[in-house]
Amino acid sequence: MVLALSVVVVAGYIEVYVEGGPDLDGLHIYAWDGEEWVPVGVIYVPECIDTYVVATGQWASMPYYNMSRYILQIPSEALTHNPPDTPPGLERWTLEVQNGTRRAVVELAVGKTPITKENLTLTTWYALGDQPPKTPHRGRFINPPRAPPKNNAATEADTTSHAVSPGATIYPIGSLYFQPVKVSGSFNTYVPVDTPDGLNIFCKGLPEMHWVGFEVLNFTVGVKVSGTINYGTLTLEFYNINFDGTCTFITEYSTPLPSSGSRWVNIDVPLPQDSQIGVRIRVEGYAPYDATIDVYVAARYKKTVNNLAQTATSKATTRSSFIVTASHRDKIAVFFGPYVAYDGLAAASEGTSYSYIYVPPHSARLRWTGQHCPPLTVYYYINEIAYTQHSAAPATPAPANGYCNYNIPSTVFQLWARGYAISKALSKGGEITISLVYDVRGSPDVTISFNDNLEIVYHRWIEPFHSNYIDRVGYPYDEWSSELLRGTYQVFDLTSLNMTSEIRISRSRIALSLAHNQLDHMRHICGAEWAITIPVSGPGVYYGDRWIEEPWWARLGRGLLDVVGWLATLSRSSVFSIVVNLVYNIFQTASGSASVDSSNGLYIVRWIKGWAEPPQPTVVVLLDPASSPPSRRAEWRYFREGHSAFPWACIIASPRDVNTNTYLPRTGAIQWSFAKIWTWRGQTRISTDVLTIHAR
Amino acid sequence: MYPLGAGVFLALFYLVLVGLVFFFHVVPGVGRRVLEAAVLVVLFASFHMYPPLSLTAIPAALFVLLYPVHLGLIYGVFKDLTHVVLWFVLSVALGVAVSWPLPQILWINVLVAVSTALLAHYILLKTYPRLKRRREKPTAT
Repeated sequence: MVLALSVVVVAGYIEVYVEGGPDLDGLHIYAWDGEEWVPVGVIYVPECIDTYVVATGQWASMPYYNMSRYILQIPSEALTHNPPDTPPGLERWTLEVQNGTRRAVVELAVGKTPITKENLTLTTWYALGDQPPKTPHRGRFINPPRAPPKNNAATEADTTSHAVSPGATIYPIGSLYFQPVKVSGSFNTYVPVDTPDGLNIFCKGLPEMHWVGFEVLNFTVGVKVSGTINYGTLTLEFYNINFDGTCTFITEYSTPLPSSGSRWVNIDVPLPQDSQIGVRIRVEGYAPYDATIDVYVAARYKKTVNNLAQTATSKATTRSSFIVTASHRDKIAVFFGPYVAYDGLAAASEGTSYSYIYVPPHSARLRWTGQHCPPLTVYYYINEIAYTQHSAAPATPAPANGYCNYNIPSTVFQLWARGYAISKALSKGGEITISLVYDVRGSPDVTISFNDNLEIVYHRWIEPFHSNYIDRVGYPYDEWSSELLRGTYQVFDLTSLNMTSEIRISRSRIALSLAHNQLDHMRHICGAEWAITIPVSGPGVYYGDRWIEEPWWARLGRGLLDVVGWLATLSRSSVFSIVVNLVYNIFQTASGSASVDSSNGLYIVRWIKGWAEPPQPTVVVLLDPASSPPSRRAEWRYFREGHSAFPWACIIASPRDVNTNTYLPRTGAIQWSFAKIWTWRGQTRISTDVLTIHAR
Repeated sequence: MYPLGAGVFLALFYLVLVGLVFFFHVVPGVGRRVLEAAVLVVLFASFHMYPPLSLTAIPAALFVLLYPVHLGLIYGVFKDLTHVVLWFVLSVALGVAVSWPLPQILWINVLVAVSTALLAHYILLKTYPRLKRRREKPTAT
């Protein structure tokens, strides 16, 4: 039955809010507008909750999504037209739309395969909304053709069950990087590739080709339209990259662009698995005013781990020792992160990943006037998307001194590949965030106490060219193509300390880097210490891509002291030598330096900032590896940073346990070449060891 | 070591040297000596404001080394320049002998240097006047 509705029409659409609906991820949804099937947009609706941001110690209202709460953008004509038969391959879903006492029924065609119209693939775009629903229309699926799919990833495990082993099949997720396009009027242009060194030379005569690589399965494409565009189309052109430098067109995939905002779509294109794939992205349409289009692509691959040197480990942590207090709120959230989402997350086929998130045990205290303490429900969100929930029993059945106490045990989750891909598809860097939401309604005062570290560890298919966090061009990263990112460690601590250290390894060089945000002149990071088991020597220091230079006055001072320094050799401990050495030391420590000490197979690499240097946001220590390391397995034991006790000295903090393994590639070009390192390389100047060899 | 730390160390070391020279006497102008030490600290702290100023650390070091000796000469602790040279040579010799087997750590070096310099100073205070008299006697006759 169809009732006449006074509808709120938004650009020919009505917005219908559905709560408790099935998860629509990966589905294409269509409504009949009287003439044809048109895609239905999905906007996930957030629940905004007051959130304590651990890193800053401040409160903010943040959106949380459970993916069963969304707005469907349905053509208004769909309310008044009965559709013909459902297209083959799609199921018919019935949505009951209610506005007050009036009701209507909309028939939808839903399936994993999109409808193709001429050369256009009509896809469903998804978006994360930023506000609660305002539409008066409420929707409900009358005949859900299937139960809401279970979140396969919402499983818990111990921290040891996620190791990637040789022979395992993994599904890494990487990014393709494009620059924004400014458009105006009628436009038809290729989206330029964002290459670190500006070179893009894969295919002769085909500019803006982005390397994709072998064994790609599918894509999640995100667009952000700043402004408005009409009749927009996004086309992905896929090519086979031949070994002779030419490229052969394989297929293309065109879909209508959303007119504005940030949205993503899942795209499945069957592509040859044993070919090197390249993609060009073309956008066309009409922009009545100036508009900018950003395109982000997360690509999902299927890889077999032949050697553990093909994988790397990323770790992020927050030292959590804090207390959150809140009054008169129904729900509160505690937010950790955001942590850097490095490319190459190794997902498992079901969408789970070889990764874990450890949420430490903590306690909650609720002031309670009732007779009995209720259970406390804690919801866990990853990247603001609901993951799972727990109910914690009170420590005592009745309130003690007016308070109910709860001990919430530690929890270990697998990182969810879907949220990771969405994050990648919605912004260039992507992120991983963890939120805990507490349902504390009925309690006027709440206290939540943490006293342990939150930790994220995930395995990555190594991604050599781009960390997107420490992203330098030229020295010291002129060998990106062979210098692989083998270990990352991010600390996102209280008081806004955010620092990331990375290890890159090539056959001839090891680069340890540190990026941080502590740049205050009085209180900054002035040193760092890495403890690794890789035999190294010969440290050199860069700040960003700039080699440290000794200032002229330090050089002059040291020269003057050298002239009289021979006197100091008269004695090993004379008053004279002590004073001369002290002054010499002042000149020597004016600029930064690095040193290596070894003990029992552990190599301690230390960088100390020069006292005359300003705080440095990015530091790179270059090292020479031993020609034949004793083991292919290496450990990164700990990291510690130095804080300036200005102007006295640089005090090195207590060690932060990293304890991640990395596996060095076998030496020898042939073995290296056949290590099957097929990744996202190619955006830089390419060394020939991978691209010129036959893949199998 | 950063300049302020070095400045504090050097200022204290200056006071130690003054105390060393006048260990068996009364330190002249104690307030002024402390003021000089404070000026040293301020000077080194200023390196942070204008790093090239650190070149003044060289004359400052010479001041730390030589001014206590100069004071010793003025106030008669040292009889003459030969006394100073002998003190230096004897301190070095003792320092080498004592520190040779010890680890090269700053604070050990400081302790050894100060203690051997003090010992050399004591030995020369006892022996040098006699040596000098013995040397001067034949000249007088």
